[in-house]
Amino acid sequence: MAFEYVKGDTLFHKFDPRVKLLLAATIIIMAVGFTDPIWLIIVFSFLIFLILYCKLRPGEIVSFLKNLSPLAAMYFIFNLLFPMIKFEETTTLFTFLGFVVTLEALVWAIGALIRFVTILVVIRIVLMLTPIRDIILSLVKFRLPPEFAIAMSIGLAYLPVLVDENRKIKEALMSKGWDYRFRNPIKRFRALFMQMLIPSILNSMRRTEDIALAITARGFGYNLRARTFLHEIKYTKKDYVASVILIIISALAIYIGWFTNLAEYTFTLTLLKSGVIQSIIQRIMELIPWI
Amino acid sequence: MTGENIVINVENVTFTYSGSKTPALTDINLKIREGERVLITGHAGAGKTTLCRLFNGLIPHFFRGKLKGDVYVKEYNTKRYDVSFLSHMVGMLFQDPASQLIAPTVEDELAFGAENYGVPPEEIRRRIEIYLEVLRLKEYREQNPHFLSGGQQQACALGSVLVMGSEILVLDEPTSNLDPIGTFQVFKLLNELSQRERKTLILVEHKLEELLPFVDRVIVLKKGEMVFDGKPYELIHREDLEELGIRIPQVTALARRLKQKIPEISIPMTLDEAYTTFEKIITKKNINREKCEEVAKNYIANKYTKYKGEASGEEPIIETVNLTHIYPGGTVAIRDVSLKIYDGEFIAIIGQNGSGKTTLVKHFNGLLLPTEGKVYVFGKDTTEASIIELSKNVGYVFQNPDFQICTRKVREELEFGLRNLNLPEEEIEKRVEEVTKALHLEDVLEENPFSLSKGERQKVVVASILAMKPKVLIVDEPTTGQDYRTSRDMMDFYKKLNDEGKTIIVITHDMELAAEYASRVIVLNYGRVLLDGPTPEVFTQIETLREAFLKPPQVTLLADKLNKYGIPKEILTIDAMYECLEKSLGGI
Repeated sequence: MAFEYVKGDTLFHKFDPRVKLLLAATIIIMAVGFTDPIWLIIVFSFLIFLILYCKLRPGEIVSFLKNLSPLAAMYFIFNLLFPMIKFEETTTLFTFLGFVVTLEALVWAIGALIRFVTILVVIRIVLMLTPIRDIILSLVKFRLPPEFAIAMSIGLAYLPVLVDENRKIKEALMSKGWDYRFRNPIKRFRALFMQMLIPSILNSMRRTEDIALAITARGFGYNLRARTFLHEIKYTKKDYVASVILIIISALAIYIGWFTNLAEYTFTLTLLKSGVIQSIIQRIMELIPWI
Repeated sequence: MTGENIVINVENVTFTYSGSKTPALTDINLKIREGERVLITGHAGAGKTTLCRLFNGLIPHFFRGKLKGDVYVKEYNTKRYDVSFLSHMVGMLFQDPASQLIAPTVEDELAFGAENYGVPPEEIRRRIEIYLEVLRLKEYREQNPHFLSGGQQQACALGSVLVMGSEILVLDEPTSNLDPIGTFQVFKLLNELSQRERKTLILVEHKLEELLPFVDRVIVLKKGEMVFDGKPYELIHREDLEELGIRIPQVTALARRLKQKIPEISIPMTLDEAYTTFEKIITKKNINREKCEEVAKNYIANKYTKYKGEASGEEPIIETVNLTHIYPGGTVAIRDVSLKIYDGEFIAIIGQNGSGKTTLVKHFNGLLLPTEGKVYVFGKDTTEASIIELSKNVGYVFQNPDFQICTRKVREELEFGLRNLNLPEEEIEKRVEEVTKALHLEDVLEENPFSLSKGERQKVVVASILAMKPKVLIVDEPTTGQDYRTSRDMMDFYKKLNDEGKTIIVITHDMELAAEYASRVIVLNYGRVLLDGPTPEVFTQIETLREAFLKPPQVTLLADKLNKYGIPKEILTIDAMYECLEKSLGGI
C-alpha cells in the first residue's frame, strides 16, 4: 500500500525529513539532467544500495515496478520511435512495421526508461523511509500554515482507507450477485464506476462531516499559533553535513547535466562505437566460467 | 466523591433538529456535579446522543436546530463559546470509533487533541505512554488506526480523548465494539480516573450489567424526555422499570420476575449480590433438585432443537477442510479450520475482536478464497465457482449497511440483486412485493435509502438480499449499537426465517442473544476454532471462554455458582432459570 512507513534504525532513517526530501530532489535533478544510460545506471545503483542499506523489502519495490511496467513500456517505446531530439548521425539497426529503429534512439530510449524508473523509485523509497507525519512537519517548517498541513495529514491518512473502502464496496456489491468483469473495457469501466460511485460519494460526504466534528471536538482551531507538535524535527550536525554534501552534488549535477555534454547519451554511444563496451562485456563473459 | 461545584447545568432545554418536526429533547433540567459518575441510558432514538451534544456546544454550533433554554459548562454558556473552547473542559468520545480517527498513526491520533491545546510535547509524551499501556495499544503505536480491529479502534479513540486531559469526559457508548474483557478493562480505567483525578464521567450505554454498580447516578431518557434521574439502586426497584425500554442486568430482571411469587426476595444489581440473594432463597425454600434438573433438561431439549452435527448423517451444505487464510501482508487470519454446516441450523459465531470471524464467513460466499485447504458450498469447490453463482445460495449482510447500498431508491435497491440474477420482470416485481411485506418497507419504498436511519438501512440491505432467496443467510454483527428491543426484534426476524427453513449464521458480540437464539455456537480464537457445539455445551465451558476473552450470559454464571444447590449449569436464559426456580422451589 502507498505511503506506508517502513520502520528501521539505520543512519538514513535517522536523518531529518528535510534531508530525505533533499536527497529525493538531488536524485531527481540528476535523473532529469543526465540522458546517458551509464550515468543513469550509476544513479540508479545508488538507489539499490539505499534499498539494501535501509533493509527495505526489495519485493515491494519489484511489485511496485511491476504495476508500473505497462506505463514504463509505453514510455520506452515512445522514446524509441519518436525521440525528442535530433541525432547528428544515425545508425539503423532494423526496421519494424515501417518504423526505423536506430542505435542512437535505442541508447536514448534506454536512458529515458532508466530515468523514468529512477524518479518513481526514489519517490517511493523516500516515502517508505519517511513517516507522513515527518513530511507534514517539514512542510510546516517550510512555512505552510498548520491548517493546511493537518488537512494534508488527514488526507494522506485516509488514502489507504479509501482504497480499502473501495474493496469493501466491491465485495458488498459482488455479494449481491453483481458482476463487473465484462470483457468489453468500456462496459467494465461503466459498471465499476457507476455502481461504485454512489456508495463512494455518499460515504465520503458523511465522512467529511464526521471528520469536521471529530477535530473540532478535540480542540482544532483553539489557538493555532500556540499549537504544539508532539514530534519536533530538528537539524543536527549530521543533517547539516548531509545537506551540504547533497547541495554540492546537486550543483555538480546541474553543471554536468546542463552545461557540459559529459552525461549526455553520446557518452555511451561513443563508448559503444569505439568498442570499449563490447570488450568489457567480452571480458565479463570470459570471467563467468571462472566464477 | 462528589463535590459541590456544578460543572454542567442544563436549564429547561428543548431542542428540535432543523428539518424535524418533533423535538429530540423536551424540557430537560439537569445539574451534574464535579466528580460525579453519570450513566445516560434509554432506547434507540431516545435522545441520548443529542443530550451529549449539548455538553460541549456541538448543539447549537454544529448541529442546527431550535434550541430553547440554556446549557452551562461551569460558568460558560455554550451558546456564547465555541466547541473548541468548551472541549478543553469537556472531552467527548463519539459513538462510531472509525469515524473519529483522523491521524496517520495511533501515536499521532492520541496526541492530536493535546497538541491543539498547546500541551508541551514532553507532557503529551508522558500521557501517551500511560494510555498506550492501559489500552493495550503499545505495539500498534506506529500503525494507521484505521487498520486496527474495531475494538482497538475504540480503544484508540478513547485514548485520544483521555490524552487531552479534560476534566469532564462524555463517552457515547465507549465499549460497543469491545469484547467483555476489554469492556471490563475500560471501566476499570475509568474508575481509576474518576477516583484518582476526580474526573466527572458521563457515559451513554445500553449494557447496564457492567455499569450499574459503577455509577453514582442514572438518567433514563424516553422519547426525548427524562423519565428517571436517581441512584442505580432506586432504578432497579422502580415499578415501571420494564417500560423504560432499557436492558437491565439479567440477575436483576430475574429477581424482579420472581418477586411476584416470592415477595421477600431482594433485588440484586451484581452477580455477587445475586448469588447471596438466591442462595438464601434456595436454602430457605427447599429446592427440589430432581424437579429442577428435569425442568432444565426439558427446557433445553425444546429450545435448541435445530442443532444437527455429525450424528445427523446429513450432507453438510457448507464445509471447510483445513481452511487457512493468510492476508497479503502476511497476517494469518484463519488457521486450519474444519467445519461442517448443515441445512436449517442457526449458528452464532463469537470471538474476541480480530479473531477471524468475518474472514471465515467471507469464505462461505467466495469473497475470499482459501490460502490453504478447501471450502465446499453446496458441494461446489469455491475456487471453481463464481461469486455470482454462490451468492444465489449464500446471502451475506455486511456489518456496515452503507457499503451495500448502491442506488438512490429503496425499490431499486431491492431490485438490484434480482437484476443481477437476470430474472424476468414479473418475477422481480413479485419478489420485491414479498420482501416489502415481510419487512414492512411499504412506506419507504420510494425513498432514498441514505435518508433512512441506520436500523432501517440495515433492514433495506437485508431485504435486498432476502429477495434473492438464498438458502443460507450470513449476518455480520446485526445488533452492534442497537438497543435491546431493536436487537431482539431483529433476532426474532432471523429466528422466523430459520423456522421457515433458512440456515442462519450470525456473527455477534452479544452473548445473551447468542444464548437465546442460536442452536449452535462456534467460538473462534486467534483464527482457530476453540469451541464448536450445541449452545448449552459451549456456554457452560466458562474457563475456556475466558481464554478467548469471552463471558457467558450473566444468568449462566449465576447458575454455575449455584450449581452446588442443584441448579443445572446449562441454564442460558432468564426464562429457563425462572421456569426452573418456579417449578422446583417449595411453597411458591
